[in-house]
Amino acid sequence: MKTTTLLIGTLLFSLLQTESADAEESTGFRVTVQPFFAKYCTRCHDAKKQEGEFRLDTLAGDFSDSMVAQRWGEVLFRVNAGEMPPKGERQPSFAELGELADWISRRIEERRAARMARRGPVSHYRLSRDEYANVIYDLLGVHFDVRMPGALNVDPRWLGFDRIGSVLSLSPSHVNRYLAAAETVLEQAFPVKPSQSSKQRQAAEAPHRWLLLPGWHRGNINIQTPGLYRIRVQLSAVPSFKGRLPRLSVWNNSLKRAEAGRDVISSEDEPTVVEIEAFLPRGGFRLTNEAPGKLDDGHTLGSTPNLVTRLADVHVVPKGYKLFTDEAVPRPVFPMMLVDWIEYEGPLLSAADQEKRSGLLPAQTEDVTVARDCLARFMARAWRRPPSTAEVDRYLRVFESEVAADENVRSASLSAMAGVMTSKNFYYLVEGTPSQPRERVNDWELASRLSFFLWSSLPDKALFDAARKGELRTPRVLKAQLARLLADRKARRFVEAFPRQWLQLHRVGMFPPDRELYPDYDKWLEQSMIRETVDVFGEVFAQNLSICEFLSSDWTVLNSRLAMHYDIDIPVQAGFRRVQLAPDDHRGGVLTHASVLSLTSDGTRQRPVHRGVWVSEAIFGHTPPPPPPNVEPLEPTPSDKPKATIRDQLETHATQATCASCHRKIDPLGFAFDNYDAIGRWRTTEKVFGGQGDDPAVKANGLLSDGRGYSGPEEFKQILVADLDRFAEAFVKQLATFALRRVMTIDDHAQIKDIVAASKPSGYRLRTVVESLVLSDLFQIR
Amino acid sequence: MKVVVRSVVLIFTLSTLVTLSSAQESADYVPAADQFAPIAKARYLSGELVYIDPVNRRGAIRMHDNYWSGPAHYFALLPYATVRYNGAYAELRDLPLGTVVHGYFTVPPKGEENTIPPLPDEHKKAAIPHNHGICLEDDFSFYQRQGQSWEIVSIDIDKEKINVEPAGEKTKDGINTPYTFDIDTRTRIWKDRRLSDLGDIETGTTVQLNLTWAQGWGQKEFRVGDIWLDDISRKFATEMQRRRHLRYERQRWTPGWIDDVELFDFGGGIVTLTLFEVDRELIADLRRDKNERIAVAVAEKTRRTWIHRADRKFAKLVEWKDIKDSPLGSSGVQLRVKFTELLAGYKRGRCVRVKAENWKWVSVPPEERITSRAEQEQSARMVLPF
Repeated sequence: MKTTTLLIGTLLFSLLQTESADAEESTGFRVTVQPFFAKYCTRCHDAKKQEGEFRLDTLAGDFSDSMVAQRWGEVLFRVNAGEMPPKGERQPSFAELGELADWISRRIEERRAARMARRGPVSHYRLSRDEYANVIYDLLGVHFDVRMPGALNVDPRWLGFDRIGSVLSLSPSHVNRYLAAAETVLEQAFPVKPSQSSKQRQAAEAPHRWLLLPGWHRGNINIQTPGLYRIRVQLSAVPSFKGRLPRLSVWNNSLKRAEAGRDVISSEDEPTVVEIEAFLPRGGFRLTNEAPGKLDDGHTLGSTPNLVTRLADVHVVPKGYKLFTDEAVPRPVFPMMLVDWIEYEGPLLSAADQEKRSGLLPAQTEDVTVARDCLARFMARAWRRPPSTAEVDRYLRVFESEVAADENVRSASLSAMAGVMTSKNFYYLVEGTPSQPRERVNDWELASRLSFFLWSSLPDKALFDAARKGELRTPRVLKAQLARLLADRKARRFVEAFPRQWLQLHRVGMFPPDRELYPDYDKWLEQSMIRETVDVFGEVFAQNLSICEFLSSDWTVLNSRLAMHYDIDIPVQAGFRRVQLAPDDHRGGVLTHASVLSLTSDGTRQRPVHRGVWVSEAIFGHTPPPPPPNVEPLEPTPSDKPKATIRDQLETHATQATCASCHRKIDPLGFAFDNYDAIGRWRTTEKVFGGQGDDPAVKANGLLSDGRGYSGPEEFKQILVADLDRFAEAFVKQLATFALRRVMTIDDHAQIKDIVAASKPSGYRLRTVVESLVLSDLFQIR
Repeated sequence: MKVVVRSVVLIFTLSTLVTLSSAQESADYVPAADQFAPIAKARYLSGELVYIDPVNRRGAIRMHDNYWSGPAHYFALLPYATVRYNGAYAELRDLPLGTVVHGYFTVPPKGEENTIPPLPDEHKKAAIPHNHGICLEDDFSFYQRQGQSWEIVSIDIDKEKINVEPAGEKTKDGINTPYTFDIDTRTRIWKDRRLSDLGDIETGTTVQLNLTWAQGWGQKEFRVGDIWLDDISRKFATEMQRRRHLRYERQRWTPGWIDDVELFDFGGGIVTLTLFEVDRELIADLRRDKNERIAVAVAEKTRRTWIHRADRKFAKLVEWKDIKDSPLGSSGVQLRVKFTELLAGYKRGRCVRVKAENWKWVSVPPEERITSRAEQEQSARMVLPF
């Protein structure tokens, strides 16, 4: 008791010191908070126990400090969510809870202005490398492969988001690479000698056809000028005896990766012509059959035919690969492609891309005025705002000095433009004015916010024009621009980028599944898993469905490969399509997507805790505290003990006092998906290595920390659906994080609530949620 | 004396040496290409081994009852056929030409009727249709395996004759009555672990013999090529042949055939295979606890591989099954092995050779390898030496 008194005294002293001027606050603390903490909290959250590594006895009282306010916000969240005090502990009355919550909320709100004032006058948000690539394309019509080794550094992520300003730092290596990238891009956009498109054709010598088994390559596509190429291939594509489809891809010889590809199916007697358009860098490429089942034993390959006339006539010597089943009417073991010819044409330069470059490079004249105009135009587009005269002059001097050094106009201009592209104004989104702190973004900044949110790129002319007129912040214009941006095909970038980042899909395949345990897993399955989730998001977006579909739905988007993985019977055909689901399929909603289920596994087994953390982050918008250091890993089941599920082992582990408080909240969120293995396949028993007896049955039931129970993934999903407002709040938080490129804090809480409220009448239709965000105060506040 | 000997010979009915009644009733039994033929359905034949094609496991026997004028009986060994010499497993190449051999034969399996080409017209009448062997043995192996040995009744060194009578379990086939054989200084007499001489042969001794054709070329006359006077010498001979067999199989890999193939999705699969009869030490080498993986090379019906050290795939042993009362030719061990890649030759009924992990990698001599489809086809048919 003495200790408690002392701690409360310390806390009181701290509060009195930091907020000494605020008598009302200290009174409120003494009357409301102090007794509450002493009665319900500090028994566990003091210096001695520090339950969950959260101490209330040292919690500072300076609410104008963002970090402190965030901690108080955490207290408020736990209390409001009914998580604290935990079950089994003495519980406060509703009145006591209300008073505490009210006091914390008021203090957070009262000091919001002070916290906002502490923000710097200018915020910098570096472009992610994907955004950089989009900007380059939209600015100059040049495809720059940012993933090419040595191109641009990999961006660090915060919970899946790769565009968070505070995380995206800048190092000398970044600057070097920006410079190299600028030179490469400009040389490509303004070549000394414009490249001519040409067409090449290679064909098998009839009646022979090139046989492409998985991993086999054919053709020789030699690209001298990087750019957009159209590749046409006439082929037959025959599925394997299991129904797997061949996958035609353009293989980059030096980078050992496919640049583009698609599933193909066509009978041996009726070949089809497939057309692929892809941006190809300089180098050698070949066609490949990227279907799983790579055959790479050179000796055996040497004994396996690669030219065929008809599959029925193929004779393979015994030491060659087994290509056909041993049935009376043999069927292919592998998905096979029989290629007749390939054609490639390029580089293709569309009029639209050509137009992007017009007016940026002066003709062969040293007229400084012309050069200045060109440079100013380029700077305005590249920097997403009109440059000042001084800024233009700075880069014009580069032009002039180059000309003075006997460089020609093109070369001098490119030097100046490279300077523009290596300026912080290019690779940073800059919001704010150093000399004039302001709370809201200006029109130019708003235009960039909007375009980088939905297009992951710079604004187009219409958006610039709206900004120039100063009309963009008017709701009518903003709404119209939003509708225009959403209707543009570049909105596909949002549909691609946001779900990947929100749901942390970059983690899919991070721990490649064990080949022995999961021989069925391959790269195309992995890509198909991600594709399903992204395409489900795309479908919800395109049809403007409710975000509730992300939690539970009776449809999904599948290709044959994934349908096979899910054991869902759909006709064998190329490509992804919307598929109606039956209850027995055990799918529907992103939580039971193989992508999510595998990204929360470790390649060997499912990880209920990881799954729980993921649900907490992606669905509830709340990041649980990290585990304490030196946590003992789960040991494999000893050979003399009965087989135990991971859940059984975890439940033993979670009985330890240091682990119990967190596991009680996290684990039930993950146990709901124990019916899915490490690569997301449905099961009713858990495969356990070692131990005695049969593999144990899966137990996918659980009890959430708020007391609600479920007995399987479907019931769990329905709990989430019943709490749609909570999910909507989390979803808006994620959307705002993506749009505003920063972590949402307690200061954004009220505005997020407003956006949720504005979206609710529509049933949280996705486009409505996006619109509510864009039209909100939050979207315009710095 | 010569008349006496001849008359003694005539006393014994040697019809069993030519054709055996046990097989007669089922002379038309046609073995399935992917099943072990039961010995009860096979025909017993015996004669002097006069020709071998050791690479393709084929040869010819000069039959006892038409020695003077009849054609040699050309045969092929079935994939699972066992050869024994000196009481141990052997290859055809281990049997010296001139050795009297005992074998059980069937007509060709369906589809393999052309393996042994037809004899010239003048010999067609004498042709024996049972030309696919399921086992072949020398006298030592044949009689000892069935529990029969010989007791020396008398020996006349001057006249180069030895009288013996069967001891122990009498064989159903072969010689199972008292007999007089030629013996002379060419006969190799084995005692203890050394060569001995005629003087060491004592009446009353129980011996094993290997016969060859007699100098007089008389019908069903035999000369003793080797005689093992004691147990040590017999065991020594067996052990030497066993070592030869082990060495050979570890270089060429132990043979078997495929019972079933379960195809996986990506070209892998589980193959069930039965190992052929070989020394148990070789089988034990393949035990799971000794092998992370085993190599399986495709082979022809002749057991010839292509380039086995390269034309093979590795597999993990997933199941080891001991089969009770397995037929002659089968080791009684069936394996289920898992591959990530399958060869075209992994088919039900096709032969393979299996390598244990701790066997050294060696190359087989070029003339043993199959290197092309043409060679593969060529090896499927015996080339007669005339």
